[in-house]
Amino acid sequence: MLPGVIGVMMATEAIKYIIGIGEPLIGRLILYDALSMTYREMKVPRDENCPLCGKNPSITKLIDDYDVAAENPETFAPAAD
Amino acid sequence: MKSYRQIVEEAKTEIPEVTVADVKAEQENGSDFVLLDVRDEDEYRAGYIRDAVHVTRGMLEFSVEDYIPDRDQKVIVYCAAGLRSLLAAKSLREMGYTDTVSMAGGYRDWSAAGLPTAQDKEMSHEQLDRYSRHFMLTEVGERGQAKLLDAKVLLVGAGGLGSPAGVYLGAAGIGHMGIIDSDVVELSNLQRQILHRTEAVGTPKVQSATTTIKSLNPDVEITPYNLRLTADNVEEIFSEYDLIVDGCDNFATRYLVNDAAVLMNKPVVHGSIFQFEGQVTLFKPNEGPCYRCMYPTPPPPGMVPS
Repeated sequence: MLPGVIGVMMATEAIKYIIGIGEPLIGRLILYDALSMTYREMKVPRDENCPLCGKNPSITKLIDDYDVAAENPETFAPAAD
Repeated sequence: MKSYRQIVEEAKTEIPEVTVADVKAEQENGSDFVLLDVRDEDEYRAGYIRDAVHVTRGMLEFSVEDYIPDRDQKVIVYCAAGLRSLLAAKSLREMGYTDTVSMAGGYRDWSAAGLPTAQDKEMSHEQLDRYSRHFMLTEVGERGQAKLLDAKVLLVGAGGLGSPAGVYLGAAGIGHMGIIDSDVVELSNLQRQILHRTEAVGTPKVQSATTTIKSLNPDVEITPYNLRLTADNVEEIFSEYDLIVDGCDNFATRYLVNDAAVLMNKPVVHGSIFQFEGQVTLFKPNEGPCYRCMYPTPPPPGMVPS
């Protein structure tokens, strides 16, 4: 049942975004716990040191093989200069 | 007892009238006013003045506050020829709106003067019926539905998250949906992956998903991608879509989706689950964080089952 709740929230966000209504979940993470039937909201700021979308990104193109990289997490974030 | 003529004459003494040329001039000056169209649905559908707010005369008192909350906002009301708008403007005064005027000659004079009009996507009778509950929501309406019908959404994964997302997006009338997944339907998927039916076991998920969504809503045009998203195909596929809905089940794809979306400036609705917990957010490049801002690198292999 959990994927249903999350998947429908995803569809709701998609529809809100397309129509341009309400408050989009930009910078906000909704965490849902099915066992306690609670959810909370976490503010997620942009990271100015993010290797991808930060001020001086070290990742400027796609990695060749994401499957290999997923097995070797250090290759996911090239060291910043 | 008052005759129709008396009611109109009375309204004319209370409500200032402006010409279509006055309204056009106000638009060009960038004056602060709301243009309110009070005609019926079918009249509106045939064409309206761009940026007009539409509330039918019949629904005016019930829902005008949703659209125009500020009672001191200047409101220029128009109808087909200028009579209903006069009465509507008078009714607004009674509700406490302080600055309402009526456009004499209405939409008839506006279009006869060759002034610019707009028209929403024309919907079939079946669509008007199918999406009628959306039209009742003032925030959605026919204009919102037209946006959904024009939207291009890519569903990454037709599994646990992609199933409910795909079903609801399809039912809501997303005009074009891409679905990417390289798996085939297994019996153990069916306990949660509601896009797939027992008879689809053994067939590609994208095929089963297409069949289900099409039978739910034939309006949805679907492009199935029976393949795995990789660095080699992601750019070509993403370039076809306005929005990515990421319900994938592994870190490699999740980082790939994120990296490609940031590099290509595409928004991503992100969702993931683990056991009894789930999370959802919207990544919009340049406006908010990306997945890497939250999780710079994936967890070491074996730490978290994906």
